[in-house]
Amino acid sequence: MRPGQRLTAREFHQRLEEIAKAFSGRYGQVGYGTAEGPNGDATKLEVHVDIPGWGLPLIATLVFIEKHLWDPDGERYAYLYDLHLEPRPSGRFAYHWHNDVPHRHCEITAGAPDHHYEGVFFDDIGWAAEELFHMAISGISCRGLRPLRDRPPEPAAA
Amino acid sequence: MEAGAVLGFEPKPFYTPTELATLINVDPSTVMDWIHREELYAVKLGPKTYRIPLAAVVSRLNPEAAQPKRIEVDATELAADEGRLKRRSVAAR
Repeated sequence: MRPGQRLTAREFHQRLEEIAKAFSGRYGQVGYGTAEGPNGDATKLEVHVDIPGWGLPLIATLVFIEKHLWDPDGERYAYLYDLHLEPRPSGRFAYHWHNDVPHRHCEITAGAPDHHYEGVFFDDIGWAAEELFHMAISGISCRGLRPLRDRPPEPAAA
Repeated sequence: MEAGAVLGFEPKPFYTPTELATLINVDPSTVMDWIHREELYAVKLGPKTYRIPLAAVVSRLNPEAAQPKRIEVDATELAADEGRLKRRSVAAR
């Protein structure tokens, strides 16, 4: 999915179903839903995955958020794919693209300075899920990542 | 619903193929066949090392319990997003 492509309500619903199905039966217990801004110009779809789920103590949580924002210039698109090791704060790895800056977050321990790293745009949510899930099992490593010079501002919630 | 009730045995976060085979009374080669045919999701940790997440086990043995559930999604920050879009739009004129 690329910016500038406005989804119909039906396509948006299909996208949500597609993501929820891609995660179910693989990584953990899946919850999903959508929310819309008061003017209908911002829509968010969100998928939560509790690992392992079904009442066992949490090892990690995956949160996948896609935002679709419309203005007169067309559609803007953002994603936040976050892995949090539990119990927090135990570590975080994330793929983000918001404010037009694709980047990664990597924190082996919470609160470490300079945890923004260079990233590239991608549109394969399955790939992201697989990567993050491996980290949930084997641990987070920030090795080989290049620090991002101009940090994008953080969104309100991730 | 808790995993013990869903599966009928004591749950773990991850299983080896042999552990799962023992629990459900099949040969380990059957579990490996499921993995290779992509009928059972498993994480490949090494050339011959797999871990099967609880979610994959639930999905295989009780697909209904593995279905994604609808949740409430917080819309609070979307109002701020729309405010930023509006400011951006006004500034462009």
